[in-house]
Amino acid sequence: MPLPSNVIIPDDKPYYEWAHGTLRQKVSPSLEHSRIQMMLGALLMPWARDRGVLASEWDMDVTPASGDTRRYLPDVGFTSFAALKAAGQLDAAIPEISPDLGIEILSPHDDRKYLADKIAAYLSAGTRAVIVIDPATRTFGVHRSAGTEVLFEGQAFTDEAFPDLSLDVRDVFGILDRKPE
Amino acid sequence: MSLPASLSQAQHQRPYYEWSRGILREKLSPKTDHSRVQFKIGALLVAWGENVGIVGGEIDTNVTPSPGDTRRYLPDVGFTSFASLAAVGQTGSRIPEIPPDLAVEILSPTQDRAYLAEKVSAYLAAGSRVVIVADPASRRFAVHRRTGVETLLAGDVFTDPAFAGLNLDVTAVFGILDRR
Repeated sequence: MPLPSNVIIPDDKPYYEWAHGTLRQKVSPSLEHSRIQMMLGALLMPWARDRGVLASEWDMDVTPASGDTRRYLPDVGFTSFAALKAAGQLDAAIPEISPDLGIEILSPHDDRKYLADKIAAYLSAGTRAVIVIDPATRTFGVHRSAGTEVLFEGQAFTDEAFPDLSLDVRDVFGILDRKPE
Repeated sequence: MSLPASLSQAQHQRPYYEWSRGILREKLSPKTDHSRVQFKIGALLVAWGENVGIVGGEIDTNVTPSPGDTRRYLPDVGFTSFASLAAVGQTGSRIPEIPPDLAVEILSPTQDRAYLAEKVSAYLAAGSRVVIVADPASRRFAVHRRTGVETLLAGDVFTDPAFAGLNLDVTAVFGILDRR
């Protein structure tokens, strides 16, 4: 479902999300946030390349309930070609479905209530898993419709909805340990 | 060579197509494609440079092309070597006060070209070695250096002595858009 026609979201930076009738500026990523985001790209790209679209800060119109369409930009999103095709969104500049896998990276200034609302919206709209990555604790919060699981270093995210994907917690945060000698 | 019948009138439904040299090419979806190209370049840079510098996307960076003229830019993708950061005491900085050694900007259809040109000039004046402007529509890199601009097309590979071992294959970067 598209956003209401009277909602105009600027194309240029800063990027905005839209939910509950309110435009909200997307927080500019911190250095750590951005390094993790790019590391996720390096780790996920080989798995995703023939399976679907993997992108960062990807404009998506998410509809958790009839008449409630929101514009979200997941820090990292993966949507299978099959899901895009089934929804007739294969060629959409702004797909009108939620990502199969959404990843949000916590920043110190994140509004936790807003994030919780966003996670709930993704899951209601069909997302299979939302991973919330916390650089401060080096943990993954993995949210599914069935509940939430916390993963620590030494563990890896896997899910039957994403065959052959294994996202090692330590590999992701390891990028933050790369520093000048 | 005549246009295909499907293009005899204006297109009103996605996907849109362009036609050139006998080839029908699907018109890019600007938002999604920008994100995919950005992430692809970031992933390639991490694979090359994760041990020698910082790769980030949309990182707040203070760029000073001339004294008294400091600007805040957020390059779509940036690489700054640990050596460059250490040389100016910016190793632990959350908002680096130096431009990336390599900056990448990805064109969008609605982009303000004059603003972009000014930004490219500012990066170079402030110390960036190279600024790559990647254009998903034409599948080209415009590689800006202080010495001039070089255009790389499909089949070309970006290399530069300042980034030893880095090979950014134009075809590989934009090839992500052909994955369907």
